[in-house]
Amino acid sequence: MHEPLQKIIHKQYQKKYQALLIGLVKRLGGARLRLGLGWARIFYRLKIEEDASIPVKGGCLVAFNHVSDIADTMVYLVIHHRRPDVYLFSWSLNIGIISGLLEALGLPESGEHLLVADMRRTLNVNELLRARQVLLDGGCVAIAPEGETTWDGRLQSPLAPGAAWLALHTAVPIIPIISRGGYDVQPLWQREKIHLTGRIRIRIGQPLVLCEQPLERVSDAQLQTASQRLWQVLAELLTC
Amino acid sequence: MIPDLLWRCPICASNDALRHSQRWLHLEVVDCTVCGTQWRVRRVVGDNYYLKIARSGGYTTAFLPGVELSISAWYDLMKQTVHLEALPEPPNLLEAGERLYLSSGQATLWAEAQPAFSRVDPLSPAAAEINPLSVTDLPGTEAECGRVVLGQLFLTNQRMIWQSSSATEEHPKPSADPQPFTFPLHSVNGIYAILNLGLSMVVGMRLYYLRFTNESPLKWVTYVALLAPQVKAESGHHIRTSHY
Repeated sequence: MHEPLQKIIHKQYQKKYQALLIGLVKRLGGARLRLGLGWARIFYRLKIEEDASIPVKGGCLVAFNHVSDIADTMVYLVIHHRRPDVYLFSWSLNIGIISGLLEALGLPESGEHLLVADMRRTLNVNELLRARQVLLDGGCVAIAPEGETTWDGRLQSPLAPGAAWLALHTAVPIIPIISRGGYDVQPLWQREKIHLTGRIRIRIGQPLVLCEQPLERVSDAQLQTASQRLWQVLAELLTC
Repeated sequence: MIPDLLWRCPICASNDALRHSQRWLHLEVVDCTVCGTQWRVRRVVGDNYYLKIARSGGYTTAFLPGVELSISAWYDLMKQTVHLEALPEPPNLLEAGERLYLSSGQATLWAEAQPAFSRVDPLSPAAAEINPLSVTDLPGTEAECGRVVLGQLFLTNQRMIWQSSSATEEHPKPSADPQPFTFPLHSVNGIYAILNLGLSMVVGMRLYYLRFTNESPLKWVTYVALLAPQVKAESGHHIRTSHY
């Protein structure tokens, strides 16, 4: 019986990890986590700093750094608290884990708001167009523009072009969010061992507007410039 | 474990030489099995991991016991030591003028039975907008997959070579003379580390997945990324890789 490659990888290597991560999230408070992130504030001394708020309505693209599953979950909850309609970009391989996490967080319906990215980038056009429509209709899309979790804790460069492409085609503001302190809790090289204590700080930056009107056509040079600008904004947020 | 990131000793520049030991009630250490250097690992909450040299292997005087750097700084030092250096050739594998850069230990390869989409040319988002409808009505992205093979992967200046060494689902008995098959670098569209699990290769529009028994996928990403400019110069083909 043939199966999709993603399912095979997930079954063989991710299932155990998924149980570990979901178990931890449940122990941290499960569905209650999203009501103020209570246990995370105790175990991970979570602090949320807002230079600006995530708008509660209107199209917006949220771009966050990709540090670790546990920190990214907290960032997602912060976004979801303001925008329950948020759509999240995820690699196809991680869909199983994210759906399980959303269920543990009491948000199974958000599983329908996942945009699936594939390593064969041509196949992402469909989901990019879907995300563009969500933004043009006044929705919210969250994306980790680095594309992959950091190996050494630093912000990766260059960013994948998806975030800039969406922002230029829709003219929605980008809300930059960074998390700090998630790396030592769960570095990628030790992803299966999650520390139960830490100090995680989430910071929401000022909105970044790349253009006033949606652009009909975007050149590779425009994409590169816009991505570089977004990277600088994220990097500045990380240092202050 | 730390050797997934530091897949080469930053001091003696030997590949796959580090061992990370975590034992209950013992100090967490990393040892180089080649030069003998030992580091103590320290986690700084809210910041990073720091590696302090506890024992110098005598390989160099630049790093004496007591030198402590963040794991990111050690990673930068390690990357400075990486160059494309030809390895001794395995018999009957390479063609004339071909140079071997990497050779894996035992690995498992999964291959899609059918490519998800037959189009070979990669489209950037910017290019896709020219005629998005031409690529929105795609067949399913979850192509069927089932071929599992044990073997070894090699990287040369021209191609990646897979030499199977054991049974497959389709052929339970190991072949007496397993034929290697190759991925020319000018048809490899992407090499990505799948977290710390394995390596994904996009060849044309077909997806392959490799799981190494005892190697970091980051090592393969790094070497392919170093080769990518050479491939671009020779054939105009761009190979995408994970960040490294």
